[in-house]
Amino acid sequence: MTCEEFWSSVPPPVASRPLEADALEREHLHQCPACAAEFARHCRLAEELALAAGDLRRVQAPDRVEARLVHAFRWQSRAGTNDRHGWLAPAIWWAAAAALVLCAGLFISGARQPVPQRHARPVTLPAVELAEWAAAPAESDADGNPAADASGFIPVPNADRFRSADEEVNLVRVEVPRSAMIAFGISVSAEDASESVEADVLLGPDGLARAVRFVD
Amino acid sequence: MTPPETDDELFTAAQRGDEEAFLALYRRRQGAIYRFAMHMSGSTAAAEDITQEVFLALLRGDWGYDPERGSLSSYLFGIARKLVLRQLERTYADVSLDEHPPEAVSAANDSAPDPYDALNERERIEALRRAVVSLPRRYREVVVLCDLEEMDYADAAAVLGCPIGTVRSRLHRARGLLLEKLDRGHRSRSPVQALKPVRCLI
Repeated sequence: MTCEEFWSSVPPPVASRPLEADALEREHLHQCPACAAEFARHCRLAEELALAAGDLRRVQAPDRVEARLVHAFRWQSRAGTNDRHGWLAPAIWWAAAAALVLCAGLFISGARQPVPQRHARPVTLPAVELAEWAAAPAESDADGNPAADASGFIPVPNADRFRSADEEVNLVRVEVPRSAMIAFGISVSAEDASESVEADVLLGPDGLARAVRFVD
Repeated sequence: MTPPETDDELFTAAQRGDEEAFLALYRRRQGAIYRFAMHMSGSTAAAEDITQEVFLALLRGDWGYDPERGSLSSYLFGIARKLVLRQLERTYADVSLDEHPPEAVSAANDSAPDPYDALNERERIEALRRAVVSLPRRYREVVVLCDLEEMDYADAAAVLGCPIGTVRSRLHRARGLLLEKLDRGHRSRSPVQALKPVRCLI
Protein backbone atom coordinates (compact mmCIF):
# COMPACT_ATOMS: atom_id res chain seq x y z
CA MET A 1 0.00 0.00 0.00
CA THR A 2 1.36 3.41 -0.97
CA CYS A 3 1.10 6.53 1.16
CA GLU A 4 -1.50 7.97 -1.19
CA GLU A 5 -3.59 4.82 -0.99
CA PHE A 6 -3.27 4.87 2.77
CA TRP A 7 -4.56 8.43 3.12
CA SER A 8 -7.40 7.85 0.70
CA SER A 9 -8.61 4.73 2.48
CA VAL A 10 -7.98 5.24 6.18
CA PRO A 11 -10.89 6.91 7.97
CA PRO A 12 -10.18 10.17 9.78
CA PRO A 13 -9.32 9.35 13.38
CA VAL A 14 -11.97 10.06 15.95
CA ALA A 15 -11.06 10.94 19.52
CA SER A 16 -11.58 8.25 22.14
CA ARG A 17 -12.60 5.78 19.50
CA PRO A 18 -10.42 2.94 18.21
CA LEU A 19 -8.99 3.40 14.76
CA GLU A 20 -11.14 1.68 12.15
CA ALA A 21 -8.17 0.73 9.99
CA ASP A 22 -7.87 -2.59 8.25
CA ALA A 23 -4.80 -4.84 8.25
CA LEU A 24 -3.22 -3.22 5.20
CA GLU A 25 -3.51 0.26 6.66
CA ARG A 26 -2.05 -0.84 9.98
CA GLU A 27 0.81 -2.51 8.17
CA HIS A 28 1.50 0.71 6.22
CA LEU A 29 1.60 2.66 9.47
CA HIS A 30 4.21 0.27 10.81
CA GLN A 31 6.29 0.46 7.65
CA CYS A 32 6.09 4.23 6.92
CA PRO A 33 7.36 6.48 9.74
CA ALA A 34 6.27 9.67 7.90
CA CYS A 35 2.69 8.51 7.58
CA ALA A 36 2.75 7.19 11.13
CA ALA A 37 3.93 10.56 12.44
CA GLU A 38 1.43 12.46 10.36
CA PHE A 39 -1.32 10.12 11.44
CA ALA A 40 -0.31 10.59 15.05
CA ARG A 41 -0.64 14.34 14.58
CA HIS A 42 -4.09 13.78 13.10
CA CYS A 43 -5.01 11.70 16.13
CA ARG A 44 -3.89 14.46 18.46
CA LEU A 45 -5.79 16.98 16.43
CA ALA A 46 -8.91 14.81 16.70
CA GLU A 47 -8.48 14.83 20.47
CA GLU A 48 -8.08 18.59 20.47
CA LEU A 49 -11.15 18.96 18.32
CA ALA A 50 -13.12 16.76 20.71
CA LEU A 51 -11.89 18.94 23.56
CA ALA A 52 -12.93 22.06 21.67
CA ALA A 53 -16.31 20.50 20.86
CA GLY A 54 -16.91 19.85 24.54
CA ASP A 55 -15.88 23.38 25.40
CA LEU A 56 -17.98 24.95 22.66
CA ARG A 57 -21.03 22.88 23.56
CA ARG A 58 -21.82 25.48 26.21
CA VAL A 59 -22.32 28.07 23.50
CA GLN A 60 -26.04 28.55 22.97
CA ALA A 61 -28.22 30.99 21.08
CA PRO A 62 -29.20 34.04 23.15
CA ASP A 63 -32.47 33.85 25.07
CA ARG A 64 -33.97 36.61 22.96
CA VAL A 65 -34.04 34.24 19.97
CA GLU A 66 -36.24 31.86 21.94
CA ALA A 67 -38.48 34.74 23.03
CA ARG A 68 -38.90 35.92 19.45
CA LEU A 69 -39.65 32.40 18.24
CA VAL A 70 -42.24 31.85 20.97
CA HIS A 71 -43.88 35.09 19.92
CA ALA A 72 -43.85 33.95 16.29
CA PHE A 73 -45.21 30.53 17.28
CA ARG A 74 -48.12 32.08 19.18
CA TRP A 75 -48.88 34.43 16.33
CA GLN A 76 -48.82 31.55 13.88
CA SER A 77 -51.01 29.44 16.16
CA ARG A 78 -53.59 32.22 16.30
CA ALA A 79 -53.43 32.56 12.54
CA GLY A 80 -53.88 28.79 12.26
CA THR A 81 -56.91 28.92 14.53
CA ASN A 82 -58.37 31.64 12.36
CA ASP A 83 -57.74 29.49 9.33
CA ARG A 84 -59.64 26.61 10.91
CA HIS A 85 -62.64 28.91 11.34
CA GLY A 86 -62.02 30.52 8.00
CA TRP A 87 -65.69 30.58 7.05
CA LEU A 88 -66.50 32.81 10.01
CA ALA A 89 -64.42 35.80 9.04
CA PRO A 90 -65.90 36.24 5.52
CA ALA A 91 -69.40 35.75 6.94
CA ILE A 92 -68.79 38.50 9.47
CA TRP A 93 -67.39 40.76 6.81
CA TRP A 94 -70.33 40.16 4.48
CA ALA A 95 -72.81 40.76 7.29
CA ALA A 96 -71.07 43.98 8.23
CA ALA A 97 -71.01 45.12 4.61
CA ALA A 98 -74.71 44.32 4.17
CA ALA A 99 -75.58 46.24 7.32
CA LEU A 100 -73.53 49.17 6.13
CA VAL A 101 -75.26 49.22 2.74
CA LEU A 102 -78.64 49.00 4.44
CA CYS A 103 -77.84 51.91 6.73
CA ALA A 104 -76.56 53.97 3.83
CA GLY A 105 -79.71 53.21 1.84
CA LEU A 106 -81.95 54.21 4.72
CA PHE A 107 -79.97 57.37 5.25
CA ILE A 108 -80.14 58.36 1.59
CA SER A 109 -83.82 57.56 1.22
CA GLY A 110 -84.50 59.42 4.44
CA ALA A 111 -82.64 62.43 3.14
CA ARG A 112 -84.67 62.40 -0.06
CA GLN A 113 -88.04 62.26 1.68
CA PRO A 114 -89.80 65.61 1.42
CA VAL A 115 -89.25 67.51 4.59
CA PRO A 116 -92.53 68.83 5.91
CA GLN A 117 -92.63 72.42 4.77
CA ARG A 118 -92.67 74.42 7.88
CA HIS A 119 -92.58 77.57 5.85
CA ALA A 120 -95.31 76.72 3.38
CA ARG A 121 -98.86 75.79 4.15
CA PRO A 122 -101.88 76.06 1.99
CA VAL A 123 -104.19 78.91 2.69
CA THR A 124 -107.81 78.85 1.69
CA LEU A 125 -108.75 81.93 -0.24
CA PRO A 126 -112.21 82.52 -1.59
CA ALA A 127 -112.41 81.37 -5.16
CA VAL A 128 -114.05 84.65 -6.10
CA GLU A 129 -111.10 86.63 -4.75
CA LEU A 130 -108.66 84.53 -6.76
CA ALA A 131 -110.76 84.85 -9.85
CA GLU A 132 -110.90 88.62 -9.42
CA TRP A 133 -107.15 88.80 -8.98
CA ALA A 134 -106.59 86.70 -12.06
CA ALA A 135 -108.87 88.88 -14.10
CA ALA A 136 -107.50 92.21 -12.85
CA PRO A 137 -104.69 93.83 -14.86
CA ALA A 138 -101.40 94.46 -13.17
CA GLU A 139 -100.82 98.01 -11.93
CA SER A 140 -97.69 100.00 -11.27
CA ASP A 141 -96.90 102.79 -8.84
CA ALA A 142 -95.21 106.09 -9.66
CA ASP A 143 -91.74 104.50 -9.51
CA GLY A 144 -92.70 101.76 -11.91
CA ASN A 145 -92.87 99.17 -9.21
CA PRO A 146 -95.81 96.87 -9.29
CA ALA A 147 -98.54 98.17 -6.99
CA ALA A 148 -100.54 96.08 -4.62
CA ASP A 149 -104.11 95.49 -5.58
CA ALA A 150 -107.15 95.58 -3.34
CA SER A 151 -106.47 92.15 -1.97
CA GLY A 152 -102.91 93.17 -1.04
CA PHE A 153 -101.17 91.02 -3.64
CA ILE A 154 -98.17 92.54 -5.30
CA PRO A 155 -97.57 91.18 -8.76
CA VAL A 156 -94.19 89.57 -9.27
CA PRO A 157 -92.23 91.62 -11.82
CA ASN A 158 -92.50 90.27 -15.36
CA ALA A 159 -95.03 87.69 -14.25
CA ASP A 160 -97.60 89.27 -16.57
CA ARG A 161 -95.93 87.69 -19.54
CA PHE A 162 -96.96 84.25 -18.32
CA ARG A 163 -100.34 85.32 -17.02
CA SER A 164 -103.46 84.57 -19.00
CA ALA A 165 -106.88 85.89 -18.21
CA ASP A 166 -108.49 82.60 -17.38
CA GLU A 167 -105.62 80.82 -15.68
CA GLU A 168 -106.13 79.08 -12.41
CA VAL A 169 -103.86 80.05 -9.59
CA ASN A 170 -102.93 78.38 -6.33
CA LEU A 171 -102.22 80.11 -3.11
CA VAL A 172 -99.39 79.00 -0.86
CA ARG A 173 -98.35 80.61 2.40
CA VAL A 174 -94.62 80.67 2.95
CA GLU A 175 -92.18 82.16 5.37
CA VAL A 176 -89.49 84.27 3.77
CA PRO A 177 -86.79 86.61 5.05
CA ARG A 178 -88.10 90.11 5.50
CA SER A 179 -85.32 91.27 3.18
CA ALA A 180 -87.30 89.64 0.32
CA MET A 181 -89.78 92.52 0.64
CA ILE A 182 -87.16 94.91 -0.75
CA ALA A 183 -87.58 93.34 -4.19
CA PHE A 184 -91.21 94.48 -4.13
CA GLY A 185 -90.40 98.09 -3.22
CA ILE A 186 -91.12 97.78 0.45
CA SER A 187 -88.53 99.36 2.67
CA VAL A 188 -86.97 97.15 5.30
CA SER A 189 -84.71 98.34 8.07
CA ALA A 190 -81.35 96.70 8.42
CA GLU A 191 -82.20 95.44 11.90
CA ASP A 192 -85.30 93.62 10.67
CA ALA A 193 -83.78 92.27 7.47
CA SER A 194 -82.89 88.94 8.97
CA GLU A 195 -86.33 88.33 10.46
CA SER A 196 -88.84 86.09 8.82
CA VAL A 197 -92.16 87.22 7.50
CA GLU A 198 -95.12 85.21 6.26
CA ALA A 199 -96.27 85.72 2.73
CA ASP A 200 -99.03 84.38 0.49
CA VAL A 201 -97.75 83.46 -2.92
CA LEU A 202 -100.01 83.01 -5.91
CA LEU A 203 -98.62 80.27 -8.13
CA GLY A 204 -99.68 79.87 -11.70
CA PRO A 205 -100.33 76.46 -13.31
CA ASP A 206 -96.72 76.51 -14.54
CA GLY A 207 -95.48 76.70 -10.93
CA LEU A 208 -94.19 80.24 -11.26
CA ALA A 209 -95.17 82.89 -8.74
CA ARG A 210 -97.60 85.48 -10.02
CA ALA A 211 -98.03 87.66 -6.97
CA VAL A 212 -97.04 87.91 -3.35
CA ARG A 213 -98.85 89.27 -0.35
CA PHE A 214 -96.96 89.87 2.83
CA VAL A 215 -99.13 88.91 5.75
CA ASP A 216 -97.48 90.95 8.49
CA MET B 1 -49.38 11.04 29.47
CA THR B 2 -45.79 10.47 28.31
CA PRO B 3 -44.21 13.56 26.76
CA PRO B 4 -43.05 13.19 23.16
CA GLU B 5 -39.46 12.04 22.92
CA THR B 6 -38.21 12.09 19.35
CA ASP B 7 -37.69 15.14 17.19
CA ASP B 8 -40.39 13.98 14.83
CA GLU B 9 -42.91 13.57 17.64
CA LEU B 10 -42.07 17.02 18.96
CA PHE B 11 -42.35 18.45 15.49
CA THR B 12 -45.76 16.82 14.93
CA ALA B 13 -47.00 18.11 18.27
CA ALA B 14 -45.66 21.58 17.49
CA GLN B 15 -47.50 21.52 14.19
CA ARG B 16 -50.71 20.90 16.13
CA GLY B 17 -50.01 24.06 18.13
CA ASP B 18 -48.24 22.56 21.14
CA GLU B 19 -45.97 25.37 22.28
CA GLU B 20 -44.17 23.21 24.83
CA ALA B 21 -43.27 20.71 22.13
CA PHE B 22 -41.93 23.46 19.92
CA LEU B 23 -39.90 24.86 22.79
CA ALA B 24 -38.53 21.43 23.65
CA LEU B 25 -37.53 20.90 20.04
CA TYR B 26 -35.94 24.34 19.85
CA ARG B 27 -34.01 23.88 23.09
CA ARG B 28 -32.78 20.51 21.95
CA ARG B 29 -31.47 21.70 18.59
CA GLN B 30 -30.75 25.40 18.84
CA GLY B 31 -27.25 25.08 20.28
CA ALA B 32 -25.89 22.98 17.45
CA ILE B 33 -27.53 25.17 14.81
CA TYR B 34 -26.25 28.33 16.47
CA ARG B 35 -22.70 27.01 16.78
CA PHE B 36 -22.71 25.75 13.21
CA ALA B 37 -23.86 29.15 11.98
CA MET B 38 -21.34 30.91 14.21
CA HIS B 39 -18.40 28.84 13.00
CA MET B 40 -19.46 29.09 9.40
CA SER B 41 -20.21 32.81 9.37
CA GLY B 42 -17.63 33.87 11.94
CA SER B 43 -20.22 36.19 13.45
CA THR B 44 -22.44 35.76 16.49
CA ALA B 45 -24.94 38.29 15.14
CA ALA B 46 -25.28 36.37 11.90
CA ALA B 47 -25.51 33.11 13.84
CA GLU B 48 -28.35 34.55 15.91
CA ASP B 49 -30.25 35.64 12.81
CA ILE B 50 -29.67 32.33 11.08
CA THR B 51 -30.80 30.30 14.10
CA GLN B 52 -33.96 32.32 14.29
CA GLU B 53 -34.58 31.97 10.57
CA VAL B 54 -34.05 28.20 10.67
CA PHE B 55 -36.76 27.68 13.28
CA LEU B 56 -39.06 30.21 11.65
CA ALA B 57 -38.69 28.25 8.43
CA LEU B 58 -39.60 25.12 10.37
CA LEU B 59 -42.67 26.90 11.74
CA ARG B 60 -43.75 28.15 8.34
CA GLY B 61 -43.04 24.86 6.68
CA ASP B 62 -40.59 26.34 4.19
CA TRP B 63 -38.51 23.71 2.39
CA GLY B 64 -41.10 21.14 3.62
CA TYR B 65 -39.65 18.66 6.03
CA ASP B 66 -40.04 15.03 4.96
CA PRO B 67 -39.07 12.47 7.66
CA GLU B 68 -38.47 9.84 4.99
CA ARG B 69 -35.72 11.90 3.41
CA GLY B 70 -33.67 12.37 6.55
CA SER B 71 -33.69 13.32 10.19
CA LEU B 72 -35.08 16.59 11.46
CA SER B 73 -31.62 17.48 12.71
CA SER B 74 -30.16 17.09 9.22
CA TYR B 75 -33.05 19.10 7.84
CA LEU B 76 -32.35 21.95 10.27
CA PHE B 77 -28.64 21.89 9.48
CA GLY B 78 -29.51 21.89 5.80
CA ILE B 79 -31.58 25.05 6.16
CA ALA B 80 -28.87 26.63 8.31
CA ARG B 81 -26.28 25.80 5.67
CA LYS B 82 -28.37 27.39 2.92
CA LEU B 83 -28.81 30.52 5.00
CA VAL B 84 -25.11 30.61 5.85
CA LEU B 85 -24.17 30.34 2.18
CA ARG B 86 -26.59 33.14 1.39
CA GLN B 87 -25.05 35.21 4.13
CA LEU B 88 -21.53 34.51 2.91
CA GLU B 89 -22.49 35.47 -0.64
CA ARG B 90 -23.89 38.74 0.65
CA THR B 91 -20.88 39.64 2.75
CA TYR B 92 -18.19 38.14 0.52
CA ALA B 93 -16.71 36.76 3.71
CA ASP B 94 -15.94 33.37 2.33
CA VAL B 95 -12.30 32.34 2.16
CA SER B 96 -11.03 31.60 -1.30
CA LEU B 97 -9.92 28.07 -1.99
CA ASP B 98 -6.93 29.48 -3.83
CA GLU B 99 -5.55 30.64 -0.54
CA HIS B 100 -4.80 27.04 0.31
CA PRO B 101 -3.41 25.21 -2.72
CA PRO B 102 -3.19 21.44 -2.40
CA GLU B 103 0.58 21.60 -2.04
CA ALA B 104 0.17 23.48 1.20
CA VAL B 105 -0.39 20.23 3.06
CA SER B 106 3.08 18.85 3.25
CA ALA B 107 4.21 15.54 4.50
CA ALA B 108 4.93 15.27 8.15
CA ASN B 109 8.21 16.59 9.36
CA ASP B 110 9.49 14.71 12.36
CA SER B 111 11.67 17.60 13.42
CA ALA B 112 8.80 20.13 13.32
CA PRO B 113 7.86 21.33 16.81
CA ASP B 114 4.49 20.18 17.98
CA PRO B 115 2.32 23.30 18.17
CA TYR B 116 0.28 21.97 21.06
CA ASP B 117 3.12 21.71 23.50
CA ALA B 118 3.59 25.46 23.68
CA LEU B 119 0.05 26.42 24.39
CA ASN B 120 -2.17 25.82 27.31
CA GLU B 121 -5.56 24.25 26.82
CA ARG B 122 -7.55 27.47 26.61
CA GLU B 123 -5.15 28.96 24.10
CA ARG B 124 -5.14 25.75 22.09
CA ILE B 125 -8.91 25.68 21.88
CA GLU B 126 -9.01 29.33 20.88
CA ALA B 127 -6.28 28.82 18.28
CA LEU B 128 -8.12 25.81 16.96
CA ARG B 129 -11.39 27.72 16.76
CA ARG B 130 -9.70 30.53 14.83
CA ALA B 131 -8.09 28.02 12.51
CA VAL B 132 -11.45 26.35 11.86
CA VAL B 133 -13.13 29.66 11.06
CA SER B 134 -10.33 30.51 8.62
CA LEU B 135 -10.71 27.25 6.69
CA PRO B 136 -12.20 27.37 3.21
CA ARG B 137 -15.94 26.95 3.42
CA ARG B 138 -16.19 23.37 2.09
CA TYR B 139 -13.61 22.16 4.62
CA ARG B 140 -14.89 24.32 7.43
CA GLU B 141 -18.39 22.90 7.26
CA VAL B 142 -17.22 19.32 7.36
CA VAL B 143 -15.01 19.99 10.39
CA VAL B 144 -17.81 21.82 12.17
CA LEU B 145 -20.33 19.08 11.48
CA CYS B 146 -18.18 16.00 12.01
CA ASP B 147 -15.66 17.18 14.58
CA LEU B 148 -17.24 19.99 16.54
CA GLU B 149 -20.84 18.77 16.40
CA GLU B 150 -19.81 15.11 16.27
CA MET B 151 -22.25 14.29 13.51
CA ASP B 152 -21.71 10.93 11.82
CA TYR B 153 -20.57 10.87 8.21
CA ALA B 154 -23.91 9.70 6.86
CA ASP B 155 -25.80 12.62 8.41
CA ALA B 156 -23.09 15.05 7.36
CA ALA B 157 -23.32 13.70 3.83
CA ALA B 158 -27.08 14.26 3.91
CA VAL B 159 -26.63 17.84 5.10
CA LEU B 160 -23.93 18.61 2.56
CA GLY B 161 -25.61 16.72 -0.25
CA CYS B 162 -22.55 14.67 -1.14
CA PRO B 163 -21.40 11.04 -0.81
CA ILE B 164 -19.95 9.77 2.46
CA GLY B 165 -16.59 9.21 0.77
CA THR B 166 -16.46 12.91 -0.09
CA VAL B 167 -17.10 13.78 3.55
CA ARG B 168 -14.23 11.57 4.61
CA SER B 169 -11.79 12.93 2.06
CA ARG B 170 -12.72 16.50 2.86
CA LEU B 171 -12.27 15.81 6.55
CA HIS B 172 -8.78 14.43 5.95
CA ARG B 173 -7.95 17.46 3.87
CA ALA B 174 -9.47 19.85 6.38
CA ARG B 175 -7.46 18.36 9.22
CA GLY B 176 -4.31 18.63 7.20
CA LEU B 177 -5.06 22.32 6.62
CA LEU B 178 -5.82 22.79 10.29
CA LEU B 179 -2.48 21.29 11.29
CA GLU B 180 -0.78 23.52 8.77
CA LYS B 181 -2.47 26.62 10.14
CA LEU B 182 -1.76 25.71 13.74
CA ASP B 183 1.85 25.03 12.86
CA ARG B 184 2.16 28.41 11.15
CA GLY B 185 0.48 30.09 14.07
CA HIS B 186 2.89 28.47 16.49
CA ARG B 187 5.94 29.53 14.46
CA SER B 188 4.70 33.10 14.33
CA ARG B 189 4.48 33.07 18.10
CA SER B 190 8.07 31.87 18.62
CA PRO B 191 9.87 33.56 21.55
CA VAL B 192 12.21 35.59 19.35
CA GLN B 193 9.38 36.98 17.26
CA ALA B 194 7.39 37.74 20.33
CA LEU B 195 10.05 40.20 21.55
CA LYS B 196 9.33 43.79 20.68
CA PRO B 197 12.09 46.43 20.42
CA VAL B 198 11.64 49.14 22.98
CA ARG B 199 14.50 51.46 22.18
CA CYS B 200 17.18 51.63 19.53
CA LEU B 201 20.56 52.21 21.19
CA ILE B 202 22.70 52.54 18.08
